[in-house]
Amino acid sequence: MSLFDDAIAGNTLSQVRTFVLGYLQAAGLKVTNWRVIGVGKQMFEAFVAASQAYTASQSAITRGFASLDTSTDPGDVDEFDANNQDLPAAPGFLSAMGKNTFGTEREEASFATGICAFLNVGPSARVLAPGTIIWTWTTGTPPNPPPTYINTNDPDIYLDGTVTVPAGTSIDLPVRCQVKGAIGSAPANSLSLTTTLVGCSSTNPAAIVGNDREDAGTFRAKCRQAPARLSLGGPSDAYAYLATKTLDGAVLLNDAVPPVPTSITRAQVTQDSATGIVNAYYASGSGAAIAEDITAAVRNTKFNALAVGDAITFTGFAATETTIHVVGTARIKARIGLTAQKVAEGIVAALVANGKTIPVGGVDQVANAGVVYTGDLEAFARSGYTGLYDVVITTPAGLSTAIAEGHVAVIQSVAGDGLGSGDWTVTVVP
Amino acid sequence: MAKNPAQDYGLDVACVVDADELFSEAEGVDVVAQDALHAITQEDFLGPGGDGRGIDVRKFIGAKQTFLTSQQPIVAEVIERDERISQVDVVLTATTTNGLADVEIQITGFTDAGPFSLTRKVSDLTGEQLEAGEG
Repeated sequence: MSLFDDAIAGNTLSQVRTFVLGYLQAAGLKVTNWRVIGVGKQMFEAFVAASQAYTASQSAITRGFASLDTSTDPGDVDEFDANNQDLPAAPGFLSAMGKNTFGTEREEASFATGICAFLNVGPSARVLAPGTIIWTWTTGTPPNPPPTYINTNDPDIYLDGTVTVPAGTSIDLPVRCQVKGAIGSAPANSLSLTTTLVGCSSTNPAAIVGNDREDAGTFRAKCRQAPARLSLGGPSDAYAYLATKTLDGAVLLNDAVPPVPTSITRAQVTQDSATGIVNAYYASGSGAAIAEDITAAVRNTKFNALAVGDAITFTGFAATETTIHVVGTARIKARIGLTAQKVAEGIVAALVANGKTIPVGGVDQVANAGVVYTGDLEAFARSGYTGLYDVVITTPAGLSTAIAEGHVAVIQSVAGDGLGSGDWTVTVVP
Repeated sequence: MAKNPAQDYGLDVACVVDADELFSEAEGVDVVAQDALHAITQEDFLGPGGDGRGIDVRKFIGAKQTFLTSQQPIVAEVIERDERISQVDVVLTATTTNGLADVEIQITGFTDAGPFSLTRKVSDLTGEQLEAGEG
């Protein structure tokens, strides 16, 4: 280990414990009761923990400034600090480095927002004030517990602080989910009134959309693309960058009403210098990008950033989804609290999470078309639960799945009971 | 040959409820006894093997006698995790202190260096009194 490695990784609790023990012995420590419940042992461990926390902050600062790859925000996976991903998501070193060095803002998690049509069939008029009506996602397959939504203030609607809805009329009210993130993204016509108002009903005619915080890997990729936006040559990275960020690096808002940060996370840009045709295929974490995101990305690229040169024919498309159905088996040693269903759920969650990072057009592209390797899917699955082994993907059957130009892989896999009712059969070895 | 030789019981800061200003020392059976009390007033400890090492009997305040009786072997097992203790008997009794529900805990332990016994009311082990150095 070099000094630099030590500065990056920091000391483990065991290393600090050894250091402190050495100092205590040098100081002639008299305590010899080394049971963990002992008073002296607990005082010693408290000092070890405090020292480790101090040294950990030093290495975290070093990692934060050393490079994009070692810099993280609280809540991100940090290969040097297992506790970091358990922290509440908040801006930190990575956000600061992105903004200050690469002029690029990291998109934070947003509240899902949208419109609910409020219908009053009578018998009397209703006077509504912002923040007084609650909706719940009740139709379809809401998360558990189902998110709730509240009407937000809009001076154009609540002219004097309230709005009167006469009997027999309806009004569109802006609403916002009460929890942050994509978990509040509800499809059209899925909300219903929780607040009891006799004669009144309400739902959302269009989808309500919120985003999770921009994935750390996605943000790092955007930072690396950032210099391309200043190029006069129209590099493909400039088109990819401007799909999600404005020319000054701010988060791009889409064309929804009200506008929300774009959910585009991936883009494939194809260029042909013979024809001057540039095509961009946009995708979100869950699959093809929505229309509101695409129109905003194209306008941002063409007219806000003026990134499209003369004699270039630029078109933005939604990527086409190529569903990869993943079926497999795995083995794990039995331990307390472990069930096949939990393991299968972990595998599926890992597959879906990693699937969101597969590039549009796949990997190892030749002429804009690539593949998704089955071996990579196995690696994704294996990361879903600690202790998994003998992970075998039976579907897809081949070594790889072809992904055509402009196509985005969408992983589909069902956990079930982990015993074969879904796509995964997990053998718990006694 | 002794199973748990007394010379391995160790030396520690004397701290049944709080250390005194001189940081007096305890050794032998006294160390074992204070560790037993420590083990039943805290669930998790710092350091390797500390998670779930103990049990906090203070949460038993207000429980019925039948529940307390059922917890006696569990508390005893936690204390007996200390390899210095050969056997321990624990009796939990629902009582009242100043009209408030309380639990009296009686511990009788046996070591190679001799027996020890502790009798404490759980209300005497509350955080406020620990901080104040009372009890």
